[in-house]
Amino acid sequence: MNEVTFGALRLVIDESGERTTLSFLGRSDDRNPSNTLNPFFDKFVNDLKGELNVDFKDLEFMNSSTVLPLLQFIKKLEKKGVKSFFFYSKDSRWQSVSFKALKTIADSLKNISIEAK
Amino acid sequence: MNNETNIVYSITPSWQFIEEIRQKIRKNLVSKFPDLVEAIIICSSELCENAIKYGVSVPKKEKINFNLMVKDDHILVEVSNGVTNAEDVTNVTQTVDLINSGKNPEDLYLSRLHELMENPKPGESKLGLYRIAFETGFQLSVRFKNEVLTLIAKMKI
Repeated sequence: MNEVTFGALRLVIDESGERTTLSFLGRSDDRNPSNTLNPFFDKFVNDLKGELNVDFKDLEFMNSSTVLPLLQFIKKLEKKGVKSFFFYSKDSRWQSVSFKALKTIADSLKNISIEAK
Repeated sequence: MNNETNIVYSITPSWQFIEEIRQKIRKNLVSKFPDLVEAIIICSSELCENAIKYGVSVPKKEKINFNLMVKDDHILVEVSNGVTNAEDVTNVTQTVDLINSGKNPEDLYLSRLHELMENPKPGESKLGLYRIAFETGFQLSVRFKNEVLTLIAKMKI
C-alpha cells in the first residue's frame, strides 16, 4: 500500500486486489486543492493499469474547491477508458448530497460509475 | 429547552480558522440539530472560505466577522469582510441573484459542474454559493455598504 498526504487529506493506494483502490481519508479542505491533486491524479492515471475503485466512504469533509480536481480526475479516467467505480457512504448525509451531483455527471459517461455503499 | 445558540468570531484571515469554526459548530449543535449540523457546517465553511479568499482589510472592516445565531425558528449565518474589488462584489451579487431567481438550485449547480468540467480555470471553482443553495437548503442574501460585503444565509427550523 502507498500513502500520500496533502494537508489533512490522506490518499491510500491499494494494488493488492483485482482492482486498484484509491481511498480518500481525512479532510479535503485546502485553499486550492487543485495545486496538489491535479499533478497527483495526472501521474496516478498515467501509471494505472486495469480497473479502479475510488473510495470516499471515510472522507470526513470536502470543500467545494475539491470538486474541480475531482471533475478533472473523472475526465482523465474517462478519456483513458479506465473502468472506474466511485463509492460514497450511504450513511453520510453530506456525502449523499454532495455525490448526487457528481453521479449525475458520471451517468453521462461510459466508464465511470458513482454509487452509494 | 433554550434553543438559542450564538457562535461569534472576529478573525484575521487565516485558513486554519475555518476548521476551528467547523469543530465549534459540530460540538455546539450536533446534539440539538443532528439532521442539520452537516448543512450548517458546509454553509459556514463555504462562506468563510470565500471571505478569506476574496476579503481585504478596509477601514470599516479590518477583520472577518463570522456570526452564527440559532433563534427559535431559524438559523442565521452571517459572514462579513472588506472588499475593494468591484468585480468581486458584482460576481457575488449576480450569483446570489441567480440563485434567488427561482431556478432549481440543483440545475444551477450541475450547470456549473459542466462548465468546470469543460473549461476548468486553475484554482477557480466558484462553486461555494451554488453548493450552499443546492446541498444545504439555506437561503442566501447579500449586503454591500462602505466596502463591507455581508453574506447572509438563513434556514427555517
